[in-house]
Amino acid sequence: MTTASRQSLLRSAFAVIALLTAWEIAGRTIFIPAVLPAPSVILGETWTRTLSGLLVLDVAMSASRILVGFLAGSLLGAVLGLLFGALEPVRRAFEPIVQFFRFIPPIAWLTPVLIWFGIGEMGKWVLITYTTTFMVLLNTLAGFAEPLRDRMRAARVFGAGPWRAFWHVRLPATVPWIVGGMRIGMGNSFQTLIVAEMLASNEGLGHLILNSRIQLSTEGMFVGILGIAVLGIAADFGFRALTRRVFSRHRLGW
Amino acid sequence: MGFIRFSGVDFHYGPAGSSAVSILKGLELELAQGEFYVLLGPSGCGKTTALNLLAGFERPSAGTIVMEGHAIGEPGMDRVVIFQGDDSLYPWLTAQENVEFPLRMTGVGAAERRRRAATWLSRVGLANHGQKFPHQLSGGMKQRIQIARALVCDAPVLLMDEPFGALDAQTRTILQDELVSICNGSGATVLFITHDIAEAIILADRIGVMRAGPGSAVKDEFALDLPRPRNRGSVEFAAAYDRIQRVLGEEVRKVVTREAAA
Repeated sequence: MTTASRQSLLRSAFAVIALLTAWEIAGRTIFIPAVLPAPSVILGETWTRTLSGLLVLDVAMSASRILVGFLAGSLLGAVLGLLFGALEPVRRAFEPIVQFFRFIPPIAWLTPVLIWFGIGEMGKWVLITYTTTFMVLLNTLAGFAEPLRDRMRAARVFGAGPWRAFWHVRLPATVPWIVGGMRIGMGNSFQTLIVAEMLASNEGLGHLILNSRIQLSTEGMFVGILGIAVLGIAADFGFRALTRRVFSRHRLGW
Repeated sequence: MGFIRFSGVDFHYGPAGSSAVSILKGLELELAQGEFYVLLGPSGCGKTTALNLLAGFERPSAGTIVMEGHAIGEPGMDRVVIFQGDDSLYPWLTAQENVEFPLRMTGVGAAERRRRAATWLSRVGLANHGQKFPHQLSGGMKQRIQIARALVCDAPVLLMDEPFGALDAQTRTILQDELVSICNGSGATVLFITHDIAEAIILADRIGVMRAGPGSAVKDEFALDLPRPRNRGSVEFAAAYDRIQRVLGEEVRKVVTREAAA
């Protein structure tokens, strides 16, 4: 590790410790736990819920919903993006529809989705897929705006027909855009997930937050809130590590 | 009868009529087989357009371009291109894989592909850089990859669009000399675009100087039968430079005057 990055790590650690300390003091002196529980209280609550297995179930359910919806949405968004990008008439035909749906936030669909798919897993998968699809689709399409004139010309000169030029030049050039869209889509997926779980679910971190309110357990609420943050950070870290490895030929920028 | 022949070639952007921007007008050009022909001209005169027409990237608005008796069609491996700048290399492929690209597209087996690409990489002095990606290499090295990628095809015609234009003067000189030794005796017919007179004299069998646009065509041709490698300090070099400069200088002045007036 370089001196500069060690220093910045040290600074971050200091800031985190300072914040936690201030919070701990505030939680023990100014506020009662029902208003703002101290970090130590939240940690204790986390431990209790982990031992009982309930937290593990909540995390597993939330993670699986993200995973299924995120993968399905990424695949759908990438395929549609590539299709629209490659075939101008198709893009023109579908552009108004895409623009129309783009402004309907996923949560607006919650009620119809409940009617169509019930309270089960399918409804959450559909909502998260919907969220991710648009991010990946739009970012993939943005990749097509990148001019590849000489690279495409070279492909034609060096023996590639339209299909091979697409496969060997356009597709690899678009990879960073697709993966970039996936990363943004993953962030948005968490928002959709939590609201969907709060309003229509019997488990998951979103449900934990809302259920804790009903049970007047502020600690439980914070376990849910911080759980989302940890899950999000872990998902993003894992995604970056994996894509760096899989797409090591492409400079992804992380 | 020339190996490649441009007859009465016009090229303009936009629909024919008063609004069309004429780039080339009545271009006549003839290249003999195995000849190294340099098109020299002021910037914006349409030299690159002439190359794009022969490559098949653009179609002439009027006139014909014929190679070995056949009209020029789609771009293909019989007329390989070395592009200006490095935007034609594939950044996700290593130097070696970039050179293998044409062989891969034509279904050459992996072992054969590797062997031929490695041979050309070492001929352009990149034997130890095959596993690097383009962004890890200097501008001069990237143009060497392009040269290797074009020559690995064994194409009868090479089209070079100011391939050394973006390089520093020293690297440029070295690559010019290397190109002379690579092309010497290769039998390939070359169309080389530049605005650098010295570069033209080092490389060319024949030089065509183009008029300032719009509606450009070849104004004058110079045959150079100096032995290679040519010496940049020789009397013959200076004499040729002077002769060409007088013709080209007049066209460049037209461009400058027009730009000043605009």
